[in-house]
Amino acid sequence: MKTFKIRCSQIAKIMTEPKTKAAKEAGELSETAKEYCELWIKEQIYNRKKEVITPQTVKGVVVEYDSIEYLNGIQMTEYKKNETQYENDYITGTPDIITPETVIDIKNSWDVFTFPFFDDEPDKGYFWQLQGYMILTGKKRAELVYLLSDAPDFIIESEARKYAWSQNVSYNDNAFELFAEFSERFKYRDVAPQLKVKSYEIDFVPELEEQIYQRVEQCRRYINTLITKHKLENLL
Amino acid sequence: MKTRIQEWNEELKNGGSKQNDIKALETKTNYLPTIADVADFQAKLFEKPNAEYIEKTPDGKAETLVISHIETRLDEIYNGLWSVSNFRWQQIANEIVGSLTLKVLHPICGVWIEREGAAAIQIMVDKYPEGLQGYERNLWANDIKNKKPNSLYLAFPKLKAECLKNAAKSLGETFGRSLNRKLYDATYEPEINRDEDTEIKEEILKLLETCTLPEQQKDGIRKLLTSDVIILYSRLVGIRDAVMMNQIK
Repeated sequence: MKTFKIRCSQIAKIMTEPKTKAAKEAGELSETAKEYCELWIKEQIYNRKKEVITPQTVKGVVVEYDSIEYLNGIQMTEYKKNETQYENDYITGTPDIITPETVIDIKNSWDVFTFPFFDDEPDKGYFWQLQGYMILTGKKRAELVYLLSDAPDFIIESEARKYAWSQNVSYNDNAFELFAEFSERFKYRDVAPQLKVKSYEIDFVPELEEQIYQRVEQCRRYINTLITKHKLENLL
Repeated sequence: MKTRIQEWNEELKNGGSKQNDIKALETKTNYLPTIADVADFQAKLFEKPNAEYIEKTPDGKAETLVISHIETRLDEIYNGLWSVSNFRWQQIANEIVGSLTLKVLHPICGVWIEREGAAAIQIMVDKYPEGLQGYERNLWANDIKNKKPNSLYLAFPKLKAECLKNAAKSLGETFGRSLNRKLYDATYEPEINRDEDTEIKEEILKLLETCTLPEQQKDGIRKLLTSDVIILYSRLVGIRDAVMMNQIK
């Protein structure tokens, strides 16, 4: 059977604490962590990957390279997209950018309302993700960069079509106006650059490394329990 | 950037293989004009009029394009697919004012375009008697009894020609749009044809003038922008934003 390793982007899921005090004291996994372990087993036994495809994730993938170029322009750097997947005995992950001193991960916000303009602290999930990247690359500092980047035209059209459908109007008859309206919503050329970039510096926290490893071990034990309970040994 | 028409013409000009010709024909059959094609054609209308066909008006005070040149240019540009209609005229005192509609078939879009043209001619009268002044002289000019017998024989067709010239002028520079105008804009810069990269590079270079970044860095950006290095648009946007963030307050 394939050994369970946690992807950096999913570390936060297994690091959540159980809700009840009793469960915490008993050293149990949280429900979120358990669900993630169950999902992992399903991926193995059915040989299918769970992929959540939403307009938000599509935008993230499509504008990935462009956003690195944008960052290069704004910071006068020459970063290249890292394509190497890193892994150790417990975790695995592919940071966006690796520099001699840091790892950088770029998040492209869906729209102005999901752009964390007022947030002083980075999202907890991304905090864990970057801790994972730092463990894998040996860097002591990471940067989480949010960009408010323009959505590609096909996403804008798709959103405009969805809207037209929800309003029971023909997209084709109103394509020009609808596309213009949604372009305004999802393109930000008129927005001051200060409002389009937000970055957080995250330091490496050494003690978290061991905590993550222990939690991975705990997940492995839970996975083994489920395998035995459901007699899945021969299917893996 | 080449338009589809230019590409197609080039392909035909270069001969190409039979396969290419067939492909070109297929492209032509399914051809839908792009805005760039239209802009390309529009640029043709903005060519300067041929100076050879510019003459002085009878009073010597202004310039005009000769009517035969206007007609030939219409034939050349619209492949003979043009017509005039609704020629109307009316006498006002000792003048005849006229108007007509010029219709041209846009060779790219295949739609008829109409332009109105208007002009006026004066009815020639005999010379006023010696001693007539001011108001009396005007009365003399407006009295139809004083009209020269054949004054409209040549003047009336001229009215139609002037109306046509006037209508054609609005099509573009090549029909003499800016003749006799002191202040005019005879440069055709289609928005659609402006290369996005060029536009943003120009914007950055302008912003650099009021930028607080160190001179060395600014020089580096200038050098990069004016070099042959291909810079992705998203990076150009980034550079523009960086320069924008460092502007003199």
